[in-house]
Amino acid sequence: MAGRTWIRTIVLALLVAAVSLALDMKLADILTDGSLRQLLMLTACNVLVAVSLNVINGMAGQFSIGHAGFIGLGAYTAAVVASQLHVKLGSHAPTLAASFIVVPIALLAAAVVAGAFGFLLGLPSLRLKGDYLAIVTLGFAEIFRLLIATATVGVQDTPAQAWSAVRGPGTFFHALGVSITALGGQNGYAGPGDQGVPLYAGPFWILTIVTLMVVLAWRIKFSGWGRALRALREDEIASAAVGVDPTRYKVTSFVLAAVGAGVAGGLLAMMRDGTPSVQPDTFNFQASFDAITMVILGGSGSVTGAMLGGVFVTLSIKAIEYGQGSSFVQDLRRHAEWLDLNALRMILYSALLIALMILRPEGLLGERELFQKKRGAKAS
Amino acid sequence: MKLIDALMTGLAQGGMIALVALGYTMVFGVLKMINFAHSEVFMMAAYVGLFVIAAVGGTAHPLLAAVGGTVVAMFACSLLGITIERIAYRPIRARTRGSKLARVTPLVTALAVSVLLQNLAQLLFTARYRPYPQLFQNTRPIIFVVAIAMMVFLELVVKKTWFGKAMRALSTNEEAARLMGVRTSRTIAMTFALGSSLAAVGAVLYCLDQSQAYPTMGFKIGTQAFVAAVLGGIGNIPGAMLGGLLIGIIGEMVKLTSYSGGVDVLVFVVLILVLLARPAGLLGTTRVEKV
Repeated sequence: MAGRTWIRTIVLALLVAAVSLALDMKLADILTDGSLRQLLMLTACNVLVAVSLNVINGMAGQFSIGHAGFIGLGAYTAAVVASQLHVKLGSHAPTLAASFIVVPIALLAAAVVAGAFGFLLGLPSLRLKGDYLAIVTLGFAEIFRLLIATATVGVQDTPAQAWSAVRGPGTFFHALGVSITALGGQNGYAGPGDQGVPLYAGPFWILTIVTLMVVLAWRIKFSGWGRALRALREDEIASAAVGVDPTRYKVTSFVLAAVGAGVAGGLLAMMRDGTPSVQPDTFNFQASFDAITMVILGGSGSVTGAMLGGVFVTLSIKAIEYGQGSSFVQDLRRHAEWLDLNALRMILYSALLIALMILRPEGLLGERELFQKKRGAKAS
Repeated sequence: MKLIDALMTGLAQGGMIALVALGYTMVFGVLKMINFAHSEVFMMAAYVGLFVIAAVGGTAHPLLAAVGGTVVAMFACSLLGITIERIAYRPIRARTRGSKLARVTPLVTALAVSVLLQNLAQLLFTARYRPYPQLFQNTRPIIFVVAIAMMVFLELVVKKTWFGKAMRALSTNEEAARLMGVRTSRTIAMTFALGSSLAAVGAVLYCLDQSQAYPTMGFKIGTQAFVAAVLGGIGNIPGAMLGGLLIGIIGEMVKLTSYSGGVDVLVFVVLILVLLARPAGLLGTTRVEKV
């Protein structure tokens, strides 16, 4: 039996790889509209955002409200690494072959940076009871965004010069400031010399990596680790008494969530058909709130629920964006200046969340999955 | 001289932050939840104050306008606070008592209320920055005096009145307080009203000094006030006052150095350091959890 499941897993993995490889080459012919291709990949990335946030908010029962900060960290890291590699490779137009060098390295860097910051934030705040994680992640995400958007240290210097001049703490902070300023401030980062971030991640990378991470999240949920997280969420003292170390489990799952967000950010930054720059304002509080909405709507703790939430929220955001640009709404706005569809969407979402919390706090699916495994039914 | 000047400004700023921090800490005391909507109550108060000041005639009658604006804002925000509690938090309290989602649900709700109010303000008042009229020449001493007066008033309410006693009882042990005849729902509603009206005073003072009102203004001051509450020991009323004053002074001191842009970062660093070194805050006490 065991051998059979192994074969099935390998066949499935090959199938996913083959399909996404085929899409990578042929998608431009199937979907001639670039914005539709973008929508498809954006949805996949947001599914990863939702699934990763679900690990900490749903499974571990902690509450992070600064997920956009980790997405942003990943996006900036991947954009910088990919741009540097792109120059090293000779600045040719991105090819699928070259992407096998660039994308893994850039995503690895994004994951490591996001994970490291996750560890730094999670350790002090998850050690405690209460909702400190919420406020710490909120503060972190905003400070990350504001630092990048407003940094103006030594605009003339290049980071390389500043770092080679480091002699002590003062010059160190100066070099750090110069590096952050080099990320482009409010206008966003568009590679060295503003040539644009190379967009290496086509459907192949996005689909395989998102699938891989979703499978990983699924495996976590139905593993001993997932059960330990669930036990912690239900009763921390009782699970600590039977040997589940609360801090260790909570911090590791928070780091995992941050890594997932970092990878999602990296994919977003390098997404083919996307914009070739990374803007700080993409990672504002509204982005974090959207991520929370995805998780809660679908059902806290449910992997497929988070995926559904991700698809729904992404589609509705894009629909609103489309509607906001349409001539009908533009006409309406000329008469009613206050009509801001996005603000209206946020009001509807938050009202929906409040109602959901009152009527069905566990979300639409609760902890159930759409396709419950036979073994999973026993486990949960 | 520059140092003393900064200290005065810091005290005024700190007094105002403390007024907002008190709202966080009181609600945390009775409900054990972070009321994220508090910063949005602050923002709404700024708008109410602005409209009343404009209606009264603004610079023509500065004192009347300032007092009128503050009082109406306090009243409106008490109503807003009670409404938020009644519509969003009370049903959840009744439903999730003892359930496994008892921790996450109030947080999501509070966050959703906050986003709702912020976007409502965006629809109602547009995202435009609205300047406050310059009512007084020198607002700093006024802010400081009013803030201290409000804190003394609060201290009297908490220590000397029946309501204050009920509130303290509720924050120590809700079940026991209920059994001793404290009407918990009414006390919670009154706590929200009191906290919101303090935030309203803070908001009008803030705008008289920094003179702008906009829908996302609650975020910055809300974060600072929350850090102040944690620094002093969340749930602890004198702690919130101390924390607010400290944050205000630290902020002004930083502005004297060449890293003046780093205030927000520093506030956040303070939060992390407090969590690492003394999570109960300066004046807080740790309670051992018994099974």
